Amino acid sequence: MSETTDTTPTTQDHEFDVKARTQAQLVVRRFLHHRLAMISLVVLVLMALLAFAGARVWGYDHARIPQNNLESYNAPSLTKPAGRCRPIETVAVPTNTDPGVTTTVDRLAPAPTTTIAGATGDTGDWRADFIAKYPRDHDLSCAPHLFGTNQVGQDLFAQTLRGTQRSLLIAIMVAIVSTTLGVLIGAAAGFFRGWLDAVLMRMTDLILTVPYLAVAAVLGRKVSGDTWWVIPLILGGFGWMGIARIIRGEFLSLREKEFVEAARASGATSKRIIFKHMLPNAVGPIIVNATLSVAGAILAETALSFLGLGVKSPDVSLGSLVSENQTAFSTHPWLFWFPGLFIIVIVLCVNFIGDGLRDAFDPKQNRVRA
Amino acid sequence: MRTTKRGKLAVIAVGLALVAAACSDSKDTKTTAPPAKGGTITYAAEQEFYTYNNGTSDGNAFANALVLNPVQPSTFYFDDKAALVMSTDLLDSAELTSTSPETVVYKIKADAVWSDGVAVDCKDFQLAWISSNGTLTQQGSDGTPVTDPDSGTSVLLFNTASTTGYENIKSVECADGGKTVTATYDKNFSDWNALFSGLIPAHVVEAKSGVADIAKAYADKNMADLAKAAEFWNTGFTADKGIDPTVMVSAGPFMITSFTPGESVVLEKNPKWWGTPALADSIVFRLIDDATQQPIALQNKEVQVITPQPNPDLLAQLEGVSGAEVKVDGGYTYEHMDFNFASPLTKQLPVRQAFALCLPRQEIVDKLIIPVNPSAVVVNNHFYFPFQSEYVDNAGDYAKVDIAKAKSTLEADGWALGSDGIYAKGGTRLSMKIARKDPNPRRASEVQLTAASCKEAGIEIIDQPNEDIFSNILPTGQYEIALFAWVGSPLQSSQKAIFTTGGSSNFGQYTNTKLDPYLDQLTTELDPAKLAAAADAADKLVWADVATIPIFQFPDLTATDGTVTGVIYNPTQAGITWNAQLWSLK
Amino acid sequence: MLRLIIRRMLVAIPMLLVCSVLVFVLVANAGDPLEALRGRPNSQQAIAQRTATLHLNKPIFERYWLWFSKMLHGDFGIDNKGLRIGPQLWRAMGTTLQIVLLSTILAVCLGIAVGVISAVRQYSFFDYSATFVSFLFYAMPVFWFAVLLKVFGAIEFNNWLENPGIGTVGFLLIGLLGAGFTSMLFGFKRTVSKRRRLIAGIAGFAGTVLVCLLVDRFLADRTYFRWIGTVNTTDPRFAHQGFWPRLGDHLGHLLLPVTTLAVISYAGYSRFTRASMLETLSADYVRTARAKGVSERAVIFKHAFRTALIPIVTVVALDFGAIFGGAIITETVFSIQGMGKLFREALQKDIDPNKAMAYLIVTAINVVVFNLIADIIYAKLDPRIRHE
Repeated sequence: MSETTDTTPTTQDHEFDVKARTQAQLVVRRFLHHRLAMISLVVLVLMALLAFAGARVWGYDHARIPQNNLESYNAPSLTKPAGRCRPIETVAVPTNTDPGVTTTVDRLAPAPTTTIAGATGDTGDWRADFIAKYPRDHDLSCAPHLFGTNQVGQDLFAQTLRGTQRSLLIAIMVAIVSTTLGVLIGAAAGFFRGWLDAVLMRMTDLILTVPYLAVAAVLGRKVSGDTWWVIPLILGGFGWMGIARIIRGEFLSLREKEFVEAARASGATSKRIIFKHMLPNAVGPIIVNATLSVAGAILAETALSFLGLGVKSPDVSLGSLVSENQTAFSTHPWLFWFPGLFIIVIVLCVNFIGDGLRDAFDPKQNRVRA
Repeated sequence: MRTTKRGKLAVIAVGLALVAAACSDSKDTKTTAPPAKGGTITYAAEQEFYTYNNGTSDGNAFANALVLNPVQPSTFYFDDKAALVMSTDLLDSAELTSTSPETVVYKIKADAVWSDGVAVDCKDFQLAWISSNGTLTQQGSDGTPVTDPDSGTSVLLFNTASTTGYENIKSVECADGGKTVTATYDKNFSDWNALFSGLIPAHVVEAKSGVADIAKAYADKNMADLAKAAEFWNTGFTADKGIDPTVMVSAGPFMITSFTPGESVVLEKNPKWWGTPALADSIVFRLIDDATQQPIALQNKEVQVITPQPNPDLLAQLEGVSGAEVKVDGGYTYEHMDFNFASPLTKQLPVRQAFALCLPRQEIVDKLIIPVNPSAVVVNNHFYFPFQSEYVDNAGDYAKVDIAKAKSTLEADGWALGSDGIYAKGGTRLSMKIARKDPNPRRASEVQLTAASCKEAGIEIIDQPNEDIFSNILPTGQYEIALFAWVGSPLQSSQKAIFTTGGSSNFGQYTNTKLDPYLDQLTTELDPAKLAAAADAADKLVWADVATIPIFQFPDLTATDGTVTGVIYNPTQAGITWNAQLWSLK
Repeated sequence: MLRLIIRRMLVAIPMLLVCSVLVFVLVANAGDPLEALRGRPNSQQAIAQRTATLHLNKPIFERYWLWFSKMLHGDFGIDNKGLRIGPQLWRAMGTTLQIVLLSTILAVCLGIAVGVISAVRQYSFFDYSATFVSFLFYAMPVFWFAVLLKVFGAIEFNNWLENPGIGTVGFLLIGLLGAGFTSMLFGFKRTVSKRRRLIAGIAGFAGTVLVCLLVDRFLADRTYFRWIGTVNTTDPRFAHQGFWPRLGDHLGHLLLPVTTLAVISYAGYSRFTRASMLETLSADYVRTARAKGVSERAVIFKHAFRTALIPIVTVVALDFGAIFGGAIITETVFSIQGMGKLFREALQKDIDPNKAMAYLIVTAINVVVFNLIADIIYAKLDPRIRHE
């Protein structure tokens, strides 16, 4: 036990801080020394890069269905699809707005009209028949199917990258919405106290009584089409109560501190006291909670997808991929494992980062993790 | 510290012992299990059984029908070819003795009894007629009929699901001590042999409601007694009160012996059953409402028979279950596109014709249905399905996509191709909305394929998804085309409401005065050959008007774990348990 | 104490009223309860019936009042199937309570035990593995984990039960597990040398393999019932059997859903316990106790653990209230007809207004009640609160 007992409180005690580091420097230093958190941060950044940049250069689009059934349930592979590969060509096409002006686009070279000999529609080979019947769908990319394909032939790697984008975007929006709401409400309640505090806290209690899944179910029925942005609004709108309570508690104790008294005595406005003096002192719990709410949001979005209320096809999120492919475990295991592992890795990383941040912000901790 | 460790170990040891004990308990039960032949067959029900009276509008559900098929007596039943076959267990004969007025004489088997020993007789037929003929309406405290202010429909005393057919019957007379029943119609009804199915025991309603004789009360217009009987008929049979063996009596090979809400219904052999005994000792319905979990339960041998809605993932999952026997067939539910005749665009015949010519029905079937049901075909008849002998392909020109003809049809009508590749006439672009239920990925794909194909023909298609299209879109008329499915039926009488002028299910307000007489004939014609001819004539008219376009039958899946025999798919509303008495373990 | 309870109740009741109005408006605008009927041929009669029973033609405030006055008498009305909702509600609550209670007990016991050890041995190998495992559990989507459980915990395990035996790989794996367990047990104190740990490990390996051999001999030539269920909470074929077989069957069905729920909550509880323990262990009074020469065990269990427990108990009470209405996914995956079933039937496809209201109100009451319980426990356990 001896190693945790020799702590020295460092908050605001600048005169004792012999190396004269600011609080922020201390926090950053402690975080940088948190090995697991740092590894997680690197992994997470790499995954985000892969998702946002990788998806742009990857040979397949997440939504496009190669409408010829040839790509149905391809197992993951590192090699190109044999014999069905065409180069990308640059062609001039008229713009939509003005038919006189042309612009260039990259697209797959058109398929030769007779790729498969004797594809007349009655060869007995259904693949050949199919291509003969639907020539306009016969185009395929050259890239290998790293993660395999699903039943309709969509490339799972492209879908996973797109899903990661969506999930991260949703989760970050949830974190922003819930943290902003929570901090504002918690700060107002804790600073002004009195009737405002009572009203805000009763409102917090009230929202806690309504299950967010029920609201999501109702709103999910109401909106249709490409409306993924509703999800972070719902999750954020129902996720700020925890942070609000924490910030209220922080503010209740901070407002009694001498430096706040001093600021008030020197005639600072409430707004200034809240944002300049008190919030910076509560930044630790805010950042930690925001980080952890990212992890929670990814899983909550997964739950929504399972109930059919999440991101709608053809758009995908990791949650919708996992819930769509949950039955594929025994027959097409790649569909089950890849999106699931992506979720696990992301949520794990975010949690480790949150853990590292918590340790870093904790003034009692000056022994960092090995 | 050590002592706590030891304590922990002890806890673990006790835990292991408990598991072992549970295992050995289970083992004991295995030795007492019934012999393999016959045995218990478990079916995974997607919805829960909840009432014995499937004839009420609340109780009219497939989940109830599945349980009640082998429990309640029916004069005729649907076989696996959707033909109505007389039940030789219940009846000696059922004869149409006169066609003017239509008169049907049923002779009930002398030894037919309910499981409580009371004979199955004419009273049960009378109750079916009284409860569903629609003449008895609810009365308010002041004696005036209660009506629904929106539709003006008066609310019936017996909360019946449908009055179709029974409302045509003038009287149900009894003879031979109740074993001969004569039903006389005042207006002919073509599907007379579909009536008097799933009979409710009249003696139970009488005993429980304290009415001595319902038929007499009806004859005497004793509203007080009828209200009492109706009260029990409406609410007395629900399963939320549990299984009362004096209420849920059986006159079939099986009887309901136990019901665990949220879990299961158990049917066991009916000791009073007079017909050929069932092969299995018991049929168990286990509630697994998430269809994606059913294959896993099949694989874990918790159920032997499942019939979830098929999709490619589910089929692939079943492929992974060793020994499973999987079969997919087209059922009676069919997808179709309806035109809105109130819309300025789709009320024009050339527009409907052009759309029918660019609607890629074969492509939709190939891409969306074939992966699930390899034998699926495009449906080209509004009244019969491809597996019926009466089915005729009446689609004519519309059988195949013909972009050139679609364009020439429009151009002949004065439409001109605009610079955006879409036809226009008099400043109106040919842009049509397809209303469909949301979320529904398959329908989204159907609309996508349609839009791609029709764009080539210069027609713009806009997807109009809504969560409640029957409430929010169809009544407003703000759509051109509606994409939805009818739960079809082999009964031609049921078609009238969909196509006739002002029909309750004719959402698009289609009307053709030449068609209406044929539709009337469908409800009244007693000669099967003439009925088929009328349906064919009606179908040709609907095709000529391009009023609605059928696309495909919904695929139905039947899968067993390979240990049972006798499970045969039935395309009608009877469902898989239509022949439950022939189910058996191998 | 009584004062506190009464004061909290006085706040809770108006809040529930506001909540009921809010959710009533929400449900009323959720969708048309007649949608399914409208899409069915020949259904005017049924539409008229349902309009009358649900008072759909009355204005919303009148409908609310009709619903509210009935609800006060414990009558939740009837659902779209014409069934009374009351009995369904009580049954659903009973079913959910069963799995939630069992999983909470399991999660709390495991979570607190692991959390305390993690805190006492902060940054040890045990701490790292426990942290990793709980984060891993927390990171898994529920239904994804459920699929794994069903495949390995049910189907494969049952197949094994039908033809049991421990293969060579099994011997090795179980032996290694045993070795790890014993070496950890004996090596728990930091002072234990590496050699002794190794010896403990080898002994553990040998012992476990020996036990396995005996078990294997015992299992040979036997075949067992497929014990673990993947759906429902009972197998109806056991309905007529004695108490013990039925209990065994019931446990076999509860095992997977309870494990699923427990694993998720366990992750939270173990982390929370660890944090709470770490905080109390570094508190001044603990330092004082140590300085006074109180034994380490007494410091941990008498001084630190008791205080650390206070926030944990309140968190458990709050969680219990929340999970009660929120075990929807676990219930769906395992076809358990609890509160989640009400949710699905009422809100997921077609709207069933009375059922939706029943579900939402019960969930809300539940949250409020468990909030109250958490407050009371907190006040009871924490002496500082009592003075207020």
